Amino acid sequence: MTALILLALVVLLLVLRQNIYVILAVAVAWLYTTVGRGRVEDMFQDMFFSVDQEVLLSVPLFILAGNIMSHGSIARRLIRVAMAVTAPIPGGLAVATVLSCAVFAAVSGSSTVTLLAIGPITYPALLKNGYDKRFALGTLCAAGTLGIIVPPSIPLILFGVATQTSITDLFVAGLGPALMLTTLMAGYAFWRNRHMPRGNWDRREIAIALKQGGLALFMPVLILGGIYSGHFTATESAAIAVVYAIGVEMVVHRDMNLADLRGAFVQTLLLAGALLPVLALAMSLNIFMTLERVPQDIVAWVSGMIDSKYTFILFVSLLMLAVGTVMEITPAVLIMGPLLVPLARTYGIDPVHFGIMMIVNLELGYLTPPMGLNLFVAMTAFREPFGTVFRSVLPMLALMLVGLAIVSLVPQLSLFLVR
Amino acid sequence: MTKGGPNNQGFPSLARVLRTATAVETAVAIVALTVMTSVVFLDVLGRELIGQGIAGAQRIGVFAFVLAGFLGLPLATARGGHLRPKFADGLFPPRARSTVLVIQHGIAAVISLGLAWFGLSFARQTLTLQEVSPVLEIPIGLVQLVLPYAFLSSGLRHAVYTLYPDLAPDETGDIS
Repeated sequence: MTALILLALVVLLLVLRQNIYVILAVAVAWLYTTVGRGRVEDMFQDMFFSVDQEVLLSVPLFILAGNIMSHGSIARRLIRVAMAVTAPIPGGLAVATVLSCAVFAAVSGSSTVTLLAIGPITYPALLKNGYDKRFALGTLCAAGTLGIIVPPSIPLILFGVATQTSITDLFVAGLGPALMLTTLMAGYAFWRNRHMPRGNWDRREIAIALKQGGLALFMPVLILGGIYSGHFTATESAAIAVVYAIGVEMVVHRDMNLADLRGAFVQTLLLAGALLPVLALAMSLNIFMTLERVPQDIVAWVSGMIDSKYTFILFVSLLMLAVGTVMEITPAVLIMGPLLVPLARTYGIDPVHFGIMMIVNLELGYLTPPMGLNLFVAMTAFREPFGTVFRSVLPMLALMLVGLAIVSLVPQLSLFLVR
Repeated sequence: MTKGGPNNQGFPSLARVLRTATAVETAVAIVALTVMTSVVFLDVLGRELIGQGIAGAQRIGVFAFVLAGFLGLPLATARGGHLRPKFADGLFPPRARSTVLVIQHGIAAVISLGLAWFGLSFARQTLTLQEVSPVLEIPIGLVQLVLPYAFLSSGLRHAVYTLYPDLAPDETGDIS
C-alpha cells in the first residue's frame, strides 16, 4: 500500500511539472517518515553526509573546466588539428568531426558541452563542403554523446560515488569502449562518405594547426595522464584542468576575458545547483534503501527469476534503455546504480564493467525521445525541426547499439587495463 | 532570461529584490567556487613543489563546494535551470498552460519552504550539539545552514512566481 501511495505521489508530481529535486525530496521524506519511522531531519543528515566528500569536488571542477573551454577557443583549435590530419581521407571532415568530439569530450566530461562547442563550427563546414544534412546532424548528435563515456566523465564520477566504485578504475575502463565507439562512428563517417573528394596532405597546415592547438591537445594528456599514472586524484586533476584552461585561454591564447570567465563560473553554478540537491537526495535514498536491505531483497527477487548472466545483461540493457528515454542521466545513475550493482555482482559482473555498461546504455538516452537531450540541443543550436534531427540520428543509434552489445558482452574491452 | 523577466514593468520593486538576491547569491557562490578551485590546486602545487600541501585543504574545498553547490540551487530556480522530466507535459491542453504553471510553482514553493524548515531544524540540532570540523575547528552547523537557506530562497522565488507568473523564468533546458 505504501509503495502504491508513493508511486501515485510521484506520478502526480511528475504530471504537475515538478523538478526532480522536489519529487525526490517528497519521495525520500515520505520513505524516511513512514517506512523508516524516522524524521525528515534524518534525511537532511544523510544528505549532508553524502555531499561531504572530497571526491565530489571533481564534478563542479570538470564542469567548470569544460565551460571555460567552450567559452574560449580550445574547441576551434582542436577541430583545426583534426581537419588538417584527416584531410587526405575521403569524408575527412566527417571523421574530423567525430575525432574533435572525442578529444573535446576528454577535457569537458559533458555531452551537451561537447555538442555545443564542436557543432557550431563543424556543422556549417560540413554543409558547405557538400555533406548530407541528415548525416551531419546525426554525426554531431551521436559524437556529442561521447562526452559521457570518454574519461573524465561526470556520470562515471557519479556512478563511482554512488556505488563506492573506484573512479580511477572507471576512468581507465572507459578508455577501451570510448575508443571503440569513436572508431565505429569515425569508420561509419568514412564509409558513408567514401566517394567524397579528398583533400591534400598539407604538412604546413598540419604544422600550423599543431602549433596553435598544441596546448589544447596537451590538456587531455595532462588530465588523464595525471590520473592514470596515480600522480593526481580525479579531484586534483580537475582543479589542474581548470587552472590550465584559464591559463591557456586567458594568458596564452588571449581568447577569453574576465566577463567570459565569470560567464563560465555562473554556468557552472547553475549546473551544480541543479545537480547537487538531486545528488544529495538520491544518495540519502540509497542510504535509506541500504539500511532497509532493499538491494538484498531485489537481488533475491530477480535472481529467483533470471538465472543466466546474459539474460540479466539483456534485462538491464532494456531497463536502462527505457529509463534513458524518460529520465536524465544524473538521477538514473544515482538511483539505479546502487540498486543494480549488487545484482550484477551476483551474476559475476565486475562493478567497474557494469558501470561502463550502464553509462553506455544511458548514453543512448541522449538520442531517444522524449528526453533525448542532444536532440533538443541540436534542434535549437542548428535550427532544424525535431523530426529531421531524430531521423538523422537513427543510423548512429543502430551503430551505438552494436557498440553497446560489444561493451556488454566483452568485459575485457573495459577491464583489460584495470584487472 | 524570463518572459516578463526581472525588468518587468508591472512589478519593478519585486523584480529588483529578486535581481539583487540573485546578484548577491551569485557573488558569494563565485567566491566559494574560486576558493574551492584554488585550495585544491594550491594543495597539489605545494605537495609537488615543496613537499607539503595546505593543512585542511580538502575540508575547506568540501565546505566551499557545499556552499557553492547549494547556493546554485536558487540560482538554477531563478534561471529555470533545474532538471525536470518533461514527458508528461503534453497531458494538459495549451490553453491550461498558465494555470498549470501557477500550480507548478505553488507546489514547488510549499515543498521547498517545508524543506527549508526541516533543514533549519537539522542545522540547529548540529549547532546545539556543538559539532566542530576536526581540522578547521569551525562549527559544522554553520556550514549546514546553507541547506535551509537554499531551499528558503528557492521556495520564496517559487512563491513569487506563483503570485506573479510573469516574473517566472523560461526553462533553459540546457542542463547536461
